[in-house]
Amino acid sequence: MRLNKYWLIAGGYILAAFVFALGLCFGIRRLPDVSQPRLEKEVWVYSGHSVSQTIVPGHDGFNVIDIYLRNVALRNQSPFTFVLSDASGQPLRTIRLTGYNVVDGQNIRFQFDPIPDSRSRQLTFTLSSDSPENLAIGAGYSSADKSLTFRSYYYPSRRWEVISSVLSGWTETLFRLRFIAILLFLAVSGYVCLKRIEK
Amino acid sequence: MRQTKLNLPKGLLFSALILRLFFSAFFFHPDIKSHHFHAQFLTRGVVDIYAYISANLTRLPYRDTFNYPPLTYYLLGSWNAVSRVVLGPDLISWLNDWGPAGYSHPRMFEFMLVLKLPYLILDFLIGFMLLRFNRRSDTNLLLAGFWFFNPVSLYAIYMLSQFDVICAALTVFALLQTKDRRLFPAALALGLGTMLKSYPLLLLPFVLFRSVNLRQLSTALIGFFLGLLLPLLPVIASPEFYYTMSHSNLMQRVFAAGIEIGGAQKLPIFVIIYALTLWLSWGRKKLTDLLPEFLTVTLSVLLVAHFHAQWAIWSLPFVAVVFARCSPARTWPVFVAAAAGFFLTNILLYDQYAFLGLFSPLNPLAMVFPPLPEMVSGFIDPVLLQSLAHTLLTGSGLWLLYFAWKNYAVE
Repeated sequence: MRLNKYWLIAGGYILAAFVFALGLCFGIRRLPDVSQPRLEKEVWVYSGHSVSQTIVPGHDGFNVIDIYLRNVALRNQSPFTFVLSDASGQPLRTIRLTGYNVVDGQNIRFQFDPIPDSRSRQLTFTLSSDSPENLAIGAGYSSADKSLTFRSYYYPSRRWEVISSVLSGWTETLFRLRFIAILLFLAVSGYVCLKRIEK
Repeated sequence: MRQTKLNLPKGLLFSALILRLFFSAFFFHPDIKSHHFHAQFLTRGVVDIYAYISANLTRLPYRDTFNYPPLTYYLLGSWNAVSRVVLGPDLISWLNDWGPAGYSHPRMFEFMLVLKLPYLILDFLIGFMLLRFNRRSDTNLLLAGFWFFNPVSLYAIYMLSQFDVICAALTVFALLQTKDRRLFPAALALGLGTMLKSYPLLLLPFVLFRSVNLRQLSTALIGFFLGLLLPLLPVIASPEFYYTMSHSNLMQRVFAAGIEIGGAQKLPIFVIIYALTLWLSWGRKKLTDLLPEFLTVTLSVLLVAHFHAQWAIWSLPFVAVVFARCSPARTWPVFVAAAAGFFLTNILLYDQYAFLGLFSPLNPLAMVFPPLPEMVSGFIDPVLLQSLAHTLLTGSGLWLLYFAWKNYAVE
């Protein structure tokens, strides 16, 4: 069959889909790392009662953590501090905010400069507040996991690794025998039907 | 270029088929999973899905209600039964997995390809019906080119994975039948369509206006109620069904836009347009070509309501005919502007699956991006941009309606 403009249009659409999907890799500023997404209840952060959680990132470049926080009825306006420290207790990153930044039950994003050698390191983040107990900030918690509710991310320093992970995903999914068989069956039977309709 | 008997160039239809097969496989929207999650219960003998969900809500892994009329459930349930034969038990275990990994699967391409196959068939069927409706071999190529390669239908049918194409096929069938003065099958199709989504009901009066005597009017009404009642019978006594239907999304949205006239009164713009269309149609009731009426009602929903993207499929077949007949060499900017307005309005929703999330089968990292409005909010107010885009769509759409009524309604 001679290649005509309709094949070019169809091919253009398909190519554009692949190129766009792959191009997304260049816009990614963070990739998901370890997380504990379950939320069962809150543990409360107030003056003299800070809350800590230890995590072990799976990648270098740890730079974002989303933590489920709750400022009940938005009453808390006191200073609130996030400190990330290493195993020896040495602070690595500190972020200061106030109750104004915390809504009544949502993931709050703490973003900081990437920690280059974060992979497999034991890191601890501590949440503390100056507020009295009756205005405490709640942090999501799961008793079963014995962990706060959080999602961590890392900055992909080697972009090629991201692209190659997507490409290897394509080879695993696109070249599955059953997918190719169904695709070919539908293409051939569709071709036969269209031929009959055209006649 | 060699031509086929349909007066179409060789390769047009087959390239359109290949394009659709690939787009079916590569894009995922959670709605297709939720549709088929509910549809799977048909093979377990559940006839009244509304009552079943209400009774078992706390035990189901997915807790949304089934928000569509019953024929949707029977059609998707029937296809679900076929799909599980082709795809095996993996399909059912995926449909029931609503955990953190519920929107991905190593066999996602196969699932999507098979689950969207009926939409592909109906998409082609609409194309063929439009070619038959057009009856002008000189514009067939433009019509087919528009229908088979426009990005809006690819987006709404294959990327968003919506079943509105079934309804669209029934309304195009009704258009075709009315043109041939066969009002019974036309009304029957609209009755069946109403049992999928409520909007075909709005098209019924235009068909009824075409009856030449009381007998034909009665026959058309019987056809409509037959189409309405057959799928309704299994749930006719179900209070849960009536509750779902009384909360129609379409009706809520089309009444939202209105002109305040004081005294707490509001004139819904869509209803004004609809009433005007009724009387214009009454004035040309001897003409059986209902394209201007069907186009006006279905397109107006997009123009004056906060619409769902898939609603574009309701009007798109009629837009295709207008495109073929309005010298697109001169008027193509109107269609491009309408499409741009449509896409911008949609992708600026706070919904990851309005755009980037659809690419998740091809690139799972697409889900890591924030919603598009959040990304542009540093440069421009996303709501303002979205409103401007919708205005562009509305302005361009009004031109299409003007063209349809001025140049086509009096033929």
